[in-house]
Formats: sequence, structure tokens, C-alpha cells
Amino acid sequence: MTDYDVRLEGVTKRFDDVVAVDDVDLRVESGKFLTLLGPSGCGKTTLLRCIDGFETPTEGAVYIKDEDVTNVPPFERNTSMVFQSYALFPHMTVGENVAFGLQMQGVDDSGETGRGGVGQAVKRLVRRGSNEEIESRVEEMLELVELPGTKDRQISELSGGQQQRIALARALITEPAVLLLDEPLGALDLKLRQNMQVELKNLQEELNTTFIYVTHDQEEALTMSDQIAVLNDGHVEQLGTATEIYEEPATEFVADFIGETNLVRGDYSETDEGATITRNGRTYLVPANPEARATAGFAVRPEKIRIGDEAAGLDNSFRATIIDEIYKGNLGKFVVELDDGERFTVDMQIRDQGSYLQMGETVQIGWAAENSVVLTE
Amino acid sequence: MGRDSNDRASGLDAQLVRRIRRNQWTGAIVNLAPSAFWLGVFFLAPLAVMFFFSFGERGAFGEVLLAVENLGLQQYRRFFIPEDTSILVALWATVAWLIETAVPGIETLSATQPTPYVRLLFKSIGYGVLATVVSFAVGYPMAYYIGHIAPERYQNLLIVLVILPFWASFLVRIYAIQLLLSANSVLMSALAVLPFVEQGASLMYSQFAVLLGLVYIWIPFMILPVYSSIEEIDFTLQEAAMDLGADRFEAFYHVIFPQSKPGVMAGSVLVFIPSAGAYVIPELLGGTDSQMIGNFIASQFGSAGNWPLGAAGAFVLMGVMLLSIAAYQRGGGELG
Repeated sequence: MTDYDVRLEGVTKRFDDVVAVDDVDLRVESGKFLTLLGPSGCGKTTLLRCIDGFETPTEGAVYIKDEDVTNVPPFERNTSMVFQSYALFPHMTVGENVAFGLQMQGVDDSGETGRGGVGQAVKRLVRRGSNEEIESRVEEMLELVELPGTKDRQISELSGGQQQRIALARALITEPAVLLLDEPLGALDLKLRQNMQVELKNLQEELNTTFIYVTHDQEEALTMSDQIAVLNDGHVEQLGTATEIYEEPATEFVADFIGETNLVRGDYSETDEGATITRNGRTYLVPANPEARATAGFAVRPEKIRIGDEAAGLDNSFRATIIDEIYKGNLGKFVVELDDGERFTVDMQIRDQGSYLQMGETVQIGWAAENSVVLTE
Repeated sequence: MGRDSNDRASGLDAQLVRRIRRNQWTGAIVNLAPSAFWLGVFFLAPLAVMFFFSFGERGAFGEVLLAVENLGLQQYRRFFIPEDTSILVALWATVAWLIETAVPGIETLSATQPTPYVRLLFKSIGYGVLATVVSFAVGYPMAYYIGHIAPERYQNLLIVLVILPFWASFLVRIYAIQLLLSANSVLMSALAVLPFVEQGASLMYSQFAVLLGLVYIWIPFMILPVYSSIEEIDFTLQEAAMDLGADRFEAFYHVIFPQSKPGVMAGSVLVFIPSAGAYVIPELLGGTDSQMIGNFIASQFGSAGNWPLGAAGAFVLMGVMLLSIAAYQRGGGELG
């Protein structure tokens, strides 16, 4: 039996009349990196807050490690959050920030935790949890995020990237069952963000902790995730690995949202020779999809379309005119138009000097049927 | 042609003004001169005169003697040291008296009493501290409500309501409290319904009335700075704390309250200083047992006709306030 760290069953969250999360079922396997990906306003942050306990679902249930926590307050849940704004405590040093979680758990010298009793409550109030156990775990955490020896620094002395790491250390020190990350890299510049993406993924693999990561950045999602849940309008459009999401998008929304794609809608029909989609009298060969409706669309990625001589003889092969081109250095991006006005974006690797194409040129484009995908909605 | 030269002239003027402004010395003079003049003539000069007076002596007819042979620390000595005792005895008497007052049961630590002026001074400080504590206890939740809980569109309205009492004269408001607390007032009649309240009872001319007056008048100075610091707090911090295992109260205590501390410190100074130095409020609401140092100073300048002693008392009080500001700055706050 597979072990699930987080299980959502029919979770719905309504704010007045607005449905932010709409009947979501989701299972997150232990030790996996799951990304909730979607445009802003798709409900991904609300969903995260339902898992953390800051929102209570209107309907449905949340399970963490098979325990129903739907009505458990956030401070009694075994989850930790890394906030978009980091939310580091500005009046505490780095060390105090990182130690906070352990102090609130009442960790004593032997590493035992306990929140019960008046003595414990007083101890938390004076934050005298500071003992050798906590000290050493703080130092351990700071080493984990590669900022050793910064214990006594002030938060304001740290750069954005360093604050990000401290926020991670603070969230991880309590050894949560699930680490929730709410667009934590949003405020960093591109280079730093890319480095942190890799580091986050490495960290996750090293700790083998379940990460649930919220982002609207599809590239980020593809880079880091074991699983991606694409959200739209409060519901999960598709759940799958990065490859599945990219190569076999289930719906038009997913195909459109992840990466660039060419979308053609037409009449779907299946014959013995294979499946086709017809639009404007032109027939495109597509892979069969038993779930497709009579009117369906197919998607084909720009890099899957060949251009020039190699395009001849493929399942779908047409003559087209170049109507727009963007030089991107490592590749050329061309918009081509078929004689019926259908347009496609095509990426071409520029392998030979002088092979770049010009506006108005007539070229052959083509792709194999299996390189396109028929969409269900 | 006339217009042309006018333009050139005003251009030159503008250039001159700019140069005067940009130079750090002339700039400072131009900007500070009006307020420096005002404060110098109407504040510093009289203050200096009073300071000088505080070293003088009272003449037989209430005039101030300032000849060289009259100058000395005698007024300050009179203020702090009971007659025929030494500084050390006076110091011990003061400490002993404070302990006796604070701890019930201890009564005979020192045979000598501190001077009535010292007792009055500490009583005023006591009033100031009490007024500050009560203002904090009442004002903080209110500031928290306005700054965080209330819907944003009502925030400004609520702030206006806090400031609203300032639209009425200070004296009118004190008299209003008199009306409320005196015998047979609406409030007291309503209270008289209770079985343990005497008929015709009055809360006027009591320490309670003074404290109520102080808190009522100065509480906006607690609410406003606390509100402005609470309003700036990022409440994601509260969520972060709760996420890490702090319950609601702990999150407030460890994260939100420390963030609002600058406002609390500023508010405390703003309430403490006018409360400890109050004069009108104890005059109008207090009885014989609830006079403060401000009343003493006023009487020295008035009926008692001893300007040097009054001046000395005023500067002692000023010293206390400067100390409170120093304590505030030590506490990490910044004025303004």
C-alpha cells in the first residue's frame, strides 16, 4: 500500500459566493515533491492554507499521515510553511528565528517535546527553551541551508536569498511531515531563483520530506517536481509527472498553460487507419484517444514540428509561408501559415550557419501523429 | 523689453534662492530661524529666567531676591531634605517611606519623614504611572482593533472618533466629568440602584476621580502611536508563529506585541509626562488628598508667593520627565 502524507478528500472552500477550491481530491505520496501549479486566482494558495490549517474547508476533509486534521488548528498540525514574504521575525536574531519552532514545542535537553502543563506554558512564554539540544539543532539547520555561523546576525543584515534560506531552516527544524512552500522564490532575481530551484530539490531529496510547492511559474514546476497538479478555477485539471503534464496534457487548459503549444480544434473521427481531426477541410492525423468527443482539439508543441526537407513524408506534412520570425540565439522561432490560414509556431534549432529562414519564404513543415496529443476538453 | 529684464531679474532671484537653500549653513539658518526665534523668545528665555530664580530666595513680601549673597541651592535643599537633617538621612527617609508605602505591614523603617514636596513628587509619579498603565490596558486592545481587526474602510472613522474629544475644550471636558461623578448625577443615580451604593454618594474629589480624568484626557496619546505601529505590522508573522507551534496568545506575545513596542513606548511617554505634571485635573477633580506636584508649583507662584521654591519644584519635575524620556530611549524607542 502506498503511503500518503497528505490526503485531500472532496475539499471545497467558499468565501461568501466565491468558490476558491472546488471539490479537490489529492493524494501526496510520502517523500515526494508535489507542485500546485496554476495561474493567480486558481485557488492554489487557498488549498495550501487548507493543508496548513489557516483555512478550514467548507466541505471535505484533510488528512495528514492518515489523521483527520480538518478541524485541527495550525499550531497543532505537523506541517510547516515557507511564506512568500519569508515572514521572518524582524525583532529576533537568525538563531532565535530558527529556534522558535523548537521552543514552542517545548524541546528539552534530551530532545523530548511536550506542551502539557503550566511549567511548559511558562517556559514557552519566556522562551527559555534555549538549551544545548536546541542550540545544536539550530546550528545543524544553519549548516543544512549553508549559512553556518550566522546565528547572531540580525534578519535585516541578510540578503533576500539568505533570508529565504533562514525561512527554510526555521520551517524544517521542527521536522514537519509536510513542508508547504508558497511561491517562496518569487522575490528573488532569475539567477538566484534558478540556483535555489536546484538546491530546494536537492534538499528535499536529502531530507526525504514531502514538499508541497505552490507556484504559477511552469518552468519552476517542471524543474523541481516529482508530481505536478495543475489547478484551474479551483479544481485539479491534471495530476502527473512533469513529462506527463508536458507531453500528454489532458485538457486544453493544461496544454495552453504549460509551455507553448499549437492548438487546433476540429471534428474528431476514428477509422481503421487511425484517428483524425478535420478543420477547414484539412485532415490532421492524430493519435487515437478513446475519451475524445466529436469536437476535439489537438496540441502539438513548437519543437515537435520539423521544418524544411526533414518535414517531408511525416504523417502531417504541409506547405507553409513564414509570416513572422523571432531570433532567439540558440533557436529560431517561426510563425508559419498554411494556405487555409491556419497558423503554427515552429521552433528550429539553428545547427548550420546561414540556415536561418527569412520572412515570406515557403517551407515544408511536418510532424508525426504521435507527437501531437488529442485533448479532452 | 521691460518684460525681458523682469524675467532675467526673477531668474537671478530664483538662482540666488536656490543657492541659499543648498548651502548647508544658510539653508539651516533660513529654515530654522523662525522656529528658533519663536522657541528662543517664548520658551528658552523664560525657562532660563526661571532656572535662575530657582537659585534665589524669597523676600519678606514675596519678591525674588537674586543678589549674589542670596544665590544658592537652598530651594533644592528645602525641596529634598527635611530641616536639620543631612542628605544621607533624607535619602534613607525617602527610600524608607517608599518601602513603607509600597509594602503593607512595614511601618517603622525611619523616624524621619521625607519632605512633603518629595512625597508629593512621588505621588505625582505614581499617578503618572497608574494613568499610563490604565491607558495601556484600555487603549491597547482598542488600537489593536482599529489597526488590525476593523475593516479598512472604518479605520479612519474610528481614528477620528478617538480624536473627537479634542474638538471640545479641555476644561469643558473636565467639567463634564465633574457632572458625571458628582452626587445625584445621572451616573451616580443609576449606580445608587445597586444595594451596596449609598444614596447621594459621590465619586468627586477623590483619587479615583483624578485618575479617571487623567486617563480620559490622555488616552488618545496612547491609542494613536500604538495604532500606527500595529497598522504597520505584517500579520503573516502571526501565521508564521502559529505555523511553528505557537498558539494564538503565544504568537501575540512573542511576535505581534514586540512589533508594537515602539508605539507602546511612545504612547507611555506621551501619557506619563502630562499626567505626572498635571495641574488642572487634580485641581478640579481632586480633593485635599489628591493634589499633585503641579498644584504645589502653581500655589508657590500664586497664593504662597514663593517663586524660587516653585521654580525649583518645576525643574525637579522637569528632571523626572527627562529621565522618563531617557528610559524610553534606552527601551529602544525613537521619538517621533
